[in-house]
Amino acid sequence: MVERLGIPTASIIGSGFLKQAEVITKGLGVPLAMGIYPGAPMVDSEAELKRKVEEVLAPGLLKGLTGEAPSADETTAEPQPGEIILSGTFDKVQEHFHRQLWTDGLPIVPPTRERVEQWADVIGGSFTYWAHTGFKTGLWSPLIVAGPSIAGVIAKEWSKSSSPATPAATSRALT
Amino acid sequence: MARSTTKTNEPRYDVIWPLSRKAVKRTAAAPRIPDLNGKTVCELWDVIFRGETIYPLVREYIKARFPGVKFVGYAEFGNFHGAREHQVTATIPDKLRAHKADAAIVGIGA
Repeated sequence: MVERLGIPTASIIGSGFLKQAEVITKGLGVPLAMGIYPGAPMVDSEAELKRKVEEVLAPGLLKGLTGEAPSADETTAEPQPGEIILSGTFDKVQEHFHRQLWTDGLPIVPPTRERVEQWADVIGGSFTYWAHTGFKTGLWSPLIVAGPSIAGVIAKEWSKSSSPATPAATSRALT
Repeated sequence: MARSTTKTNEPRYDVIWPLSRKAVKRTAAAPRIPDLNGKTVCELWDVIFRGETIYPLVREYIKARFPGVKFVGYAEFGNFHGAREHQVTATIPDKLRAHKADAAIVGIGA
């Protein structure tokens, strides 16, 4: 918010929250200058806290205000909806999704075009709709990223809702 | 073809881009200030994680390098975290303008 006012800002972030800061930065669409506090200030002694502030945090904040302006770490253009971004084995796909933080560690069903079309048949909508909406957003995200082993569990829960899709149909689409 | 096989008969998958288009409009960072002498740095604090100790140390560190810098302490802006978050946050832009803020330090996310 402050940065949007045209005021250079540096944020104090604990090292354990850097990934969260990265996500928030992307969500806000504003690059974030950070001073990093190594570890957690609540558990450090006065002497340790002072040392960390003077050696790491304060220099980082000062650099954030006086150095080069931070820039978004996204230099490549985003793929088009429906574009194939990866061709590989099941393991390669899992690893790629995991590294991109597109899963929380659970195995995923590789979203190939035919899988998404099956998905659209069961859920409704169309391939184009889901390709533009994305599979990690919206109500159905757990299903498209869920592995076959838990699809049944999710489908069972789902059956309690008023969704037109049946658990069996959902499982078929995913397994 | 979405699925083909390797020499070991292991299926290969042509995976499509799984994310939606970004709806957030990007904003460039504000220009930085190489020399903080004569400038006003405002402090915003969410009143957690030992900021009462950290902010004075940061202040001291920066003042040692830019003696002419002026700080506006976090107490001027209130706690922007918690039950009154929205009310307090709404007042911050005007307060920053009133103090003629040139830069800000915001924390603490830890």
